[in-house]
Amino acid sequence: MSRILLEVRDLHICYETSRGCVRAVDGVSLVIYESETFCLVGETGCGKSTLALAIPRLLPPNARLLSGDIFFRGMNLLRINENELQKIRGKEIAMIFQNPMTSLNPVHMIGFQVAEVPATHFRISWREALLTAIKQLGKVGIPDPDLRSRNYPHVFSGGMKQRTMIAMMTTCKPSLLIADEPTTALDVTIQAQILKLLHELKNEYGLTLLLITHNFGIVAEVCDRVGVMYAGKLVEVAEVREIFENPQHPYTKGLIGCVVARKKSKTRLNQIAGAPPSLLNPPNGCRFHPRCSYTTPKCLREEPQLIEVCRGHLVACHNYERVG
Amino acid sequence: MISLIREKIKSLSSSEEISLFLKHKRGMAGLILLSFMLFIALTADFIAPKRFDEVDPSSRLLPPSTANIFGTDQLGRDVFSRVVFGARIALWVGLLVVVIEAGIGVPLGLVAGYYGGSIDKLISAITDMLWAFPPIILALAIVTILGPGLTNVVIAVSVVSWAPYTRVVRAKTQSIMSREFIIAARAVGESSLSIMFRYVLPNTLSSVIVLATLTIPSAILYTTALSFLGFGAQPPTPDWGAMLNEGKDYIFKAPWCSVFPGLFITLTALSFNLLGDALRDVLDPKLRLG
Amino acid sequence: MILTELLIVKDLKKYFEFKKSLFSRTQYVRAVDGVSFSVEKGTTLGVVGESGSGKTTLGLTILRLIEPTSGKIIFNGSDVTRLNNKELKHFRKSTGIVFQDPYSSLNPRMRVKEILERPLKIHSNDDEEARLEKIIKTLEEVGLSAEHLMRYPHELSGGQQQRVAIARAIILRPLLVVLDEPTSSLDVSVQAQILNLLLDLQNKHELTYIFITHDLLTAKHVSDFIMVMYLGKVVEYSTTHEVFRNPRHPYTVSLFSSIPIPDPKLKSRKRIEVVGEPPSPLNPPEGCRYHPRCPYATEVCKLKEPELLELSDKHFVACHRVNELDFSEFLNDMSSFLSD
Repeated sequence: MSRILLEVRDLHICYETSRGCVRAVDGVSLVIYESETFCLVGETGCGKSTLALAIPRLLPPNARLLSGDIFFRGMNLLRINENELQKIRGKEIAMIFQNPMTSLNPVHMIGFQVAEVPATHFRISWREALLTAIKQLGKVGIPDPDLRSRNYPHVFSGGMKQRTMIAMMTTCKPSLLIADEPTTALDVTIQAQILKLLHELKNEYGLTLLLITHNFGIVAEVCDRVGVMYAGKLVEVAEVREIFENPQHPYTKGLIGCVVARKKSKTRLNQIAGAPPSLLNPPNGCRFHPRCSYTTPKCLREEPQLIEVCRGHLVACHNYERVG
Repeated sequence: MISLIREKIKSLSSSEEISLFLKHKRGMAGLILLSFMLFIALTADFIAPKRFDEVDPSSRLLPPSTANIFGTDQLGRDVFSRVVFGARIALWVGLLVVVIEAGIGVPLGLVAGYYGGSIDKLISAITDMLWAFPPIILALAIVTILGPGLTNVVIAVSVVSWAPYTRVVRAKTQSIMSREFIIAARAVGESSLSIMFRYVLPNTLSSVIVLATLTIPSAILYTTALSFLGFGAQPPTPDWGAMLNEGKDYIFKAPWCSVFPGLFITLTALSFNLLGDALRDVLDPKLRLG
Repeated sequence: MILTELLIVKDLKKYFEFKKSLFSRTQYVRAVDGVSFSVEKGTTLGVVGESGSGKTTLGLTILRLIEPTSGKIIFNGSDVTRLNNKELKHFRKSTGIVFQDPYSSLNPRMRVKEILERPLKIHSNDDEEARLEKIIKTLEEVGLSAEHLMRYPHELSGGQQQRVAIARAIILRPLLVVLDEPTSSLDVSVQAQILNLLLDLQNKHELTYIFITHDLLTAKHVSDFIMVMYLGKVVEYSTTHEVFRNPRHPYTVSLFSSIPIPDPKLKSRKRIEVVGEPPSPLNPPEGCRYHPRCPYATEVCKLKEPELLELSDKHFVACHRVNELDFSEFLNDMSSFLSD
């Protein structure tokens, strides 16, 4: 296996709310290898976006980092000062978000916004930065980049805006690109184009992609390895084929059973009963036990740890042998 | 079974808002303050040691003492008694102004936002025109026609300042009209009137309440200004604003003449603001914490 | 045969007026531009398209929540476009609609009980007792219970909100329900619950659905017929089985290529690549509206608009080159996914 690029160790993050502490990420440990595509999958509120935001330390003000470490090339991102971090953000670690409409500043020209990134990180003149920006815009598939770089964001379609974000985030050829639901707001044909673009850039720059999604179709199409999150915990990590063909956690198995494409038309889908728990007051023991059909008394008492069941396949379930 | 559920429904629907309000600390502070104002307004006859118009030339501009706890004014009247009687006027003015302003502004805003098109253009044009006039001059003109007197001043002030209600309600209505529950309501066969009153109006209510708490204090101040100019409360009516204005001539010699009415104006305005905030929180289910 | 068709739509058009400024000439957004189809009783028609395809406008126009510009909508034998007020009220009773965003589709100031009570108050003479009984029965049908009666929408989860919206749509026992992306904003596990619920309700009450979605795979799961739309036009229409086994329009096939398929084995399948972005419906291309993005476009596609022609029994395609094109290379890999 290739070298480790990013390692998250026992990360705990909570959001302070008027009703108490919401433990959005609760003891997640994770390793991402160089130049792989790692997918974090999970439903709304499982903590996948919080985990992603914690890596470049972009968490909102009401989030509190309780404990844990994030090592990026051996450097602990949670311990270094803001200055050092600034040098890493955008240059080494870049991030794109779900909603490209709100990620771009409406009062600046496209080219200006993209050029700012290389201008901040390299000792080059503004002219050179602008040329780099235009080149990068062309690279991500914006037609007439020279002309379009003088446009303002509002004239761009959703797909073009997302391309612009990608251009902005890849001008410095980062080692890690975090993409938080980058195609959720886009049409399917545009989604396919964006995914293809990400794949091409990844091959060309050798970047590592951390993709956050709830769509198992996207997982299957672009990922090498997958981490499944549930209620602030990582419950299963494995290679993509392994996840689809041999899921060991009841939640993963249930989610894959929910996917419409895998069932005969007009038949009932397998469904997971109930809804994810509130993270203000999660259930004791295994957090999935109230919805799980394999529950034993042990699941109510004891929280399962993530263990390696076979090479590269980690599961946090007491009964994985019965599930698989 | 059904009857059991019905019982539960009855007990739930009214008590929840009240219990939520009771937990709202600032809201309760506002309510207590306003109740206090209401109390002194209602019981002024018993609390006030003297009549508000009892002139005593021998004890002019006396500082606060045990006999006159807020001191006396330039005519030797007891400031405390006048402030207490003034609460009646302030509250009456506040209430009347809100009722008239909202009564004109809300329906117009609702209709403009709901129907849009030329109706909206007409209503918006009137609102904008009104907005362009300095309200105090327009109010002066109306008072000149109606004749002096506190009630006429209140009417004049309300009539010239309903425009914010229309604007706010119109904007709110427009944003609500784009929500899908309006289409859903039409799809189940709701009439326009029903949509306006059941679906749109309740959703604009929190903004109207906030606006009301903002306009009451300014309405009180407008009335004060008109009173000062001689159109409103006629002497010896103990209008707080009028007292403030009369007292300003003696601000260094006898600050108590203006400080106490000023303090009560502030407290009344504050109580309305606190109450308004609390009502908005309680009435807006979205802001409620389950 | 004739009686089985609950809804017949003929050459339906909906143009929205659009004026850039006071002095520019009025332009028209041709959101729905000459759409014809019919839906048989008790079946589901899946309407598939991307944003700007006019699928949502179509759904709203069929229910006369938007007035059509022209065309006929024949529901249960009568023309919906010509109903008087009394007939329209009856039409409202026999139709329902469910939207994508469940929170936005429920009045935040109404409790669940009131939301479900309104349709009953408008359309029936039931007393309070009978209404409450119906409400609770419907709530139970959609997987909720009397304990949810006094909740406000924001106190419910997304899935529960959507259940309330579905309950509102079916409480009057309608014949036709338009489902506009009912699962798109929900989580995967909740999506499955809602799709199951919709299928159960259809079986139980013989409901007819028009299921609007951007997701071909969801459409396949619930529909008997599929209609693919592009920029206000129907490009392909047939039975679900036929559309998936033998798609004939390049746009339909490119959708198959674009949808991410949850099977890692199909990762490197052969695909048609769709280039560019959908043009603005304000200014659609001349000729075939798909030609600027179509890899198979020829001169004739740029000049002449293709008609929707019946290729074989109940398989309609609007493409000039339908008889020359062969998509088997793109479909072979996916056959396990595309057929039942």
